[in-house]
This record gives sequence, C-alpha cells and structure tokens, in this order.
Amino acid sequence: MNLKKWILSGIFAFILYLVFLSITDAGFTANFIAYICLFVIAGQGWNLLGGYIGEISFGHAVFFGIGAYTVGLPVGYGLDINLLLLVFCGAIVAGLFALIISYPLLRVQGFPFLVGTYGLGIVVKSIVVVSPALFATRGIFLKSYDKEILYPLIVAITIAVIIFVKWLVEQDIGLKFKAVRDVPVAARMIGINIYKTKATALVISAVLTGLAGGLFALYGSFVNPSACFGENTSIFILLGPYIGGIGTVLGSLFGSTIVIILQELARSLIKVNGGHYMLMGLLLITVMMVSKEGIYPGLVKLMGKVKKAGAKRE
Amino acid sequence: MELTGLIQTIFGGIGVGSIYALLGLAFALVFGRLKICSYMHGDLAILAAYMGFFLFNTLGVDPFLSLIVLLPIFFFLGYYIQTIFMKPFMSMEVWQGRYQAQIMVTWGIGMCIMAAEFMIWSGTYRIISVPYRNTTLAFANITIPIVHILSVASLVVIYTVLNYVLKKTDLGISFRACSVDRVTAMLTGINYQRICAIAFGISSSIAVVAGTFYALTNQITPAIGLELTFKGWVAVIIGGMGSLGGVILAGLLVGLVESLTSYFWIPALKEAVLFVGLLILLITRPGGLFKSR
Repeated sequence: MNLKKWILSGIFAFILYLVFLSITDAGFTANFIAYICLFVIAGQGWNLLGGYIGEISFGHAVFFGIGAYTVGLPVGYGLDINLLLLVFCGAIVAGLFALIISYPLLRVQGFPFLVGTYGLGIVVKSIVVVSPALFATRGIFLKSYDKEILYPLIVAITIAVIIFVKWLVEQDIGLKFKAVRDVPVAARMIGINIYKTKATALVISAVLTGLAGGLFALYGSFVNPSACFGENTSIFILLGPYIGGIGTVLGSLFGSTIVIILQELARSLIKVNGGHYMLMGLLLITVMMVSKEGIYPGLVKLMGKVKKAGAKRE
Repeated sequence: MELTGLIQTIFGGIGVGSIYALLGLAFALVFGRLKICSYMHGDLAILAAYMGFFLFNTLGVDPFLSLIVLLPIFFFLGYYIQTIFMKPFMSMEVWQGRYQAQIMVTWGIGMCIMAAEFMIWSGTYRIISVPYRNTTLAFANITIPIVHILSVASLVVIYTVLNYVLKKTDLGISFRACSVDRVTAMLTGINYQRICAIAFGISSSIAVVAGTFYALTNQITPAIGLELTFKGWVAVIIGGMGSLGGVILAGLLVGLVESLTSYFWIPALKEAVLFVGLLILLITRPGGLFKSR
C-alpha cells in the first residue's frame, strides 16, 4: 500500500521533470539537477551500508570510480560498445569487486572498517595513477552523450533506485540489516548469518554506487583518477546521508541534495579558499549536536512533539 | 654501498615512523582507555605546525621554543572541545552508535580547522627553514638528520612520562579507574567528564609535538591533516587497539614500510603498499599485530 504511494509520487515527479524540461531547454538547471541525482543515487547506495548496517565507509569512491572506468576504458581503447550497456556492466563489475573485497573488510567493525575502506580508496587510486594501461593521470575523454536523452534517463534511474531501496528495506533482508545493526548478538541467536547479511548490503551498495559512477562518466564525458577515485568523491557521497539522516530513505535524499547545493553555492558565492569545507564542517557539527540522527529524523521528532503539545492543549 | 643505502633507509623510516607513533599514541590514549574516538588530531597537528611556522616567520621563534606556548594552548583547546562537543556522546554505548557520532563531530571540527588553515595560509606548500633542518650526524657512511634523533627521543620521553603518570599519580589512577568501570569510578567521587577532558587535552598536546616534528621534516599543506589522522589510526589498529607500547612499535613499522617501499619500488605507491598490508593483516589477525593482553 505504502509502496504504491511511493511509485505514484515517483511517476508524478518524473512527469513534473519532463514538463520542466520541455519548458526550459536543457540548460544550467537541468544540468545541475542531473549532477545532484548522481550523488543521490550514490548516497542511497552508501546509506544501505552506512545507515542500515551501521558500517561507515570512507571509500565509496572506489565503486564510483570502477563504474566510471568500466564505461571509460573500452572507449579509451577504441572499442565501439553501447555506452548504456557499459553503465550497467560497470554496476555489476563494482558489485563483483565489492564481493571480493568484502572478505577482508567485513572481518572488522566500526572504525577499523572505516580506516580499511579509506585505505582501499588510496590503494585503488594510486594503482590507477601509476599504471599507463589505465591511462594514468591523463584520463579518458568520451564523446558527449545526447543531453536530451541522458538527463531524463538519470532522473528516471534515480527515482527507480529510491523506490528500489525503499522496497528493499521493507523486505526480510532489510529487517535483517536493521537487526544486525541494532543487536548483533540477538540477530545471530535467531539464525541470521551476520557476515552474509553485511556482504549482501555491501554488494548492493556497491552496485548502486557503480551505477552512479557510470552515469557520471556519461554526464561529464570525461573520467580521470582525481574526479572518480578522489577522496572528495567519497566525502560527498558520505556526507549527504549522514547530514540528512542515516537509515532513512527520504533523509539521505534530502541530505545529498542539500550537501551538493550548498557545496556549489559555497564555491560560486564565497570566493575564499576552503570556504566550502568550512560550511560542510559547521553543518556537520551543528547537525550532530542538535539531532544525532540527522536532519530528517530530527524534523520528524519535532513534528511529533508539536502535534503532541497541540493535542494536550485541546 | 648497497648495504649502506639500506641501513640509511631503515633509519629514515624509524625517524618518519616516530611521528606516526606520536600521533598513534595520542589516539590510543583516549581510545584504548576511555573509548573516545577522534578524527581530528591530524588536523590539530597541522594547525600546530602552521602556528610554529607563523611564529618562526614573524617573530623568529624557534619551533621548539614555541612548543612552550603551544602545548598549554592545545591542551586547553582539547579540553574545551571535549567538554563542549563530545560530552553529549559520552553516555552513549558502543552499539548506540557512539563511535560514529564521535567520528562525525571530530571530523567536522577537523574540516573547520583545515578550512581555516586554507583561508589564512592558502594551499601552498610551506616550509619552516630552521638552520638545523639539514644538519646531520654521521656514523661511518650513515648520516642521520638531527631532527629524526630528536623526534625518536621525544617519543621515548613522552612514553615514559605517560607511563609514570598512569601508574603512579592520582590523576593516572583515577584515569585507569574510569577506563575499567565508569559507574564505579563515578561512585567513588571521580569526575568522569573532567578526567575525559584532561585526557583529551593531553592527547591534543601530544599531537602538537607530532605536528612540529612533521613540519621540521616535511612540507606542510592543510590537506595533509586527514592523511596524518588515518596513518595514526593505522598505527593504532596494527598496534592492537590501544595498547600504548604496541602503538609505538606499529607507528615505527608504518614509517619503515613507507621508506622501504620508496627505496625498493615506486615512491608513489608507498601508501598503497601500507594499506594493502593493513588489509592482509585484517584477514590474518583482525585483532592487530601486538595485541594487548
């Protein structure tokens, strides 16, 4: 029942977007919306691992970059393959990579996991930077994809991903995720395989992030190590769900949107070195101090309190 | 000739590793005992390095003399960061997301510090050009920079003093009481929050020493802070999650791995080798190399 509402509002949002596109031709705003959507997809992927399993990853740029490079490399070697097909291949490759890497990574929890994922990011980035076969620091130029097809496609995929994540966390597997996060001991007692559950979350998370990466390659028609594998990519993927509210689908959607908009505003308006870092840091501290769970759950709590107070008065 | 180069590299690695060991010590002090997780000490270290740079360039104060001013300043900085920003999370349990919350707050503060450094000193690489920067001591064919010797010496001194304070003084005893059992410690009249704040202040001061030595051996830029933080944490993980002696050995090991990689292979891959080693360690011994107890 609930899911039907989500699908309907998703379709409505897509129609709204198409109307918007037909009124204003694909200009700056459409471009910017597509850019936000990429990070919303990656943020939803991160949220599956960081929010629902509770393992913070500092290295999601790895999966993002693998998605992007799976699109970029065949083009760089002059192969003529359908780019959209490559985007989905990239998602699958990122998922496979996550499956392999989950073996060492998921043996630890908490911040050793965090340091391990950060290290993974550094390892993959330095391998790409030093190997000429992967075009080193030069990067690869793609021929630009038709914007009028690409932008609606990105928005449609974003909506589909959001609905998929919402559907997933209401299934058995989603409940398992939460059980593993909240009380691991009890989860093991009722027969949940903790390692398998975590690995599932990591792989799905990597697939979504890889999808975002592949779309990023089409969107920017350029892939290079610092844009795809860089630490900043990891940080922006991570910050969105964390500020918006980890463990909630809507929260991380809002969070990613807010973070990207603020970051771009800070870059274009505050013309001071490091201004956007200051803004992000202050935002992070404020959110953590005011409501530990993030903006969206905090707002929901506040609304509940207001309603209760209103009911009491009556 | 070959052998001399190797020994030279090993000594260089120990010198660099002592800086990581200092940072790891700062993390292990608050993490191993009091379960406080910080992700800002690298940024604190770089901030201290920039302050030393500023004092040296404007007033001509030697970085080691400026430590006299910087240590108390950073002690109180750490003290108040703990009392203002970390206090709400001190009563949380680990499964309630205590570490996540602490990581995010300290990382936010670290990001603000980095941004402030970018605003004041911009992103260009800076260097503290003290006269003894390139002074070396020579034994046979091997030359050792005097700064490296000093940093290893200060590591030993800090470790000894910390051990003495933890074992013998009232402060250390109440500190250990808090780490074993928080509630009972509070029942006996120990001010838990104050002990945590003091510990955080001390660990910030250790980060200052690390930052000063880093500035004397490397070029500094604001973005290096996060990198230093992670290297300190690698030392903590290898060292077995908070045993002070293990962290020091692990920090030296990290430095050795880096310098040996640069000597035998491509310098650009030194961090990659380090983290691959970490991943292998996580497979074989998730508890760390030098496990406490």
